[in-house]
Amino acid sequence: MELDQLKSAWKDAPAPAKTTEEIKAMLQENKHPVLKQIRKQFTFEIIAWSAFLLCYYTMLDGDKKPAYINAVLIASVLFPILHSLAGYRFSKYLVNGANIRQSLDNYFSKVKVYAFVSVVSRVLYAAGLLVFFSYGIDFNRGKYYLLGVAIAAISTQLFWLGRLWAKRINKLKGATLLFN
Amino acid sequence: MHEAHFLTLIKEHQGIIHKICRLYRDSAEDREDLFQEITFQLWKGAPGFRGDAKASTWIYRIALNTAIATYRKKKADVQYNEVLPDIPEEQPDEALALRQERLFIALKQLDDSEKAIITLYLDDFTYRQMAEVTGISENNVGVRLNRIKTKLQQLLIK
Repeated sequence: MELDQLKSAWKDAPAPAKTTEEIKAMLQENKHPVLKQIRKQFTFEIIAWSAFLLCYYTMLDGDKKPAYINAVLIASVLFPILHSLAGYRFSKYLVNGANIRQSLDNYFSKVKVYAFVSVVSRVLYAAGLLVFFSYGIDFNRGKYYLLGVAIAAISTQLFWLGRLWAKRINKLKGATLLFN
Repeated sequence: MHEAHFLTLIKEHQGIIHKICRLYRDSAEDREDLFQEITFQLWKGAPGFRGDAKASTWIYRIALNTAIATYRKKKADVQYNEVLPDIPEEQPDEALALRQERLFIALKQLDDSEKAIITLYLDDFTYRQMAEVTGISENNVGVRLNRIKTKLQQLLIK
């Protein structure tokens, strides 16, 4: 195929026409597939953790533990929620630069930080829960065993989370390098 | 930019977005999601577009950027035919459709940056405009484009 033929094939490629109404609907955040998913998860987390924070003080002996242990628990729950909120805003503005190369570089830097904080927030969350629930417990062999199982389960989860982020980062790095 | 003006602009140039979606995504569902994501990103970026550049340049920049940066679900195992379909000489519509199919099959085998450069070339962007959109220097655009054209020709004569 000659280059002119390629150009005309590209220019005349058929495209299904969207109506103005369809395009207008796409501008709304509540119709956006990714943001909708994040919002759904975020709402669920807020409701679940609000219920937990309302009940834990009396039901899980929060009132019998020192204030700083309660503060550790609340902070470990709030941190991932704030991180999700930042993620929502982050997903809203993908393009940030005068050209593709600059924008991909900026996006790549942000994703790396976001991924790191994501893993750290999960570590803090797990550590906060463990500190809260293990405070004041007289450990015997069986309880140490249970603690070990919990730590192993959390570590496995963290490993997979880290791996998932590493894969995404490598993919994005590959795309960024193609423009450098 | 007013919403009405923006909607008119997208309606006029939606062909660009459709072609980018077809090129960077394999399933109909993924293309639909990408179309929506690009439109949304264009809307978010609309206050920054003051009309200094051509609308098509701005749309290409945001559309290509979004297509490359957004997370892609694991690719379905797409099998490309070893031999591309023959082009019939006597029916012009059918010939054009097949030419387009062959072109897209070949384009899909390029990497993300090659796809970006060649699409701009196929839409008659100058080296300078391509450099502005991609952030690659004009000289480098020229060198890369020659390589891509050769690669594309090889893919098309397979």
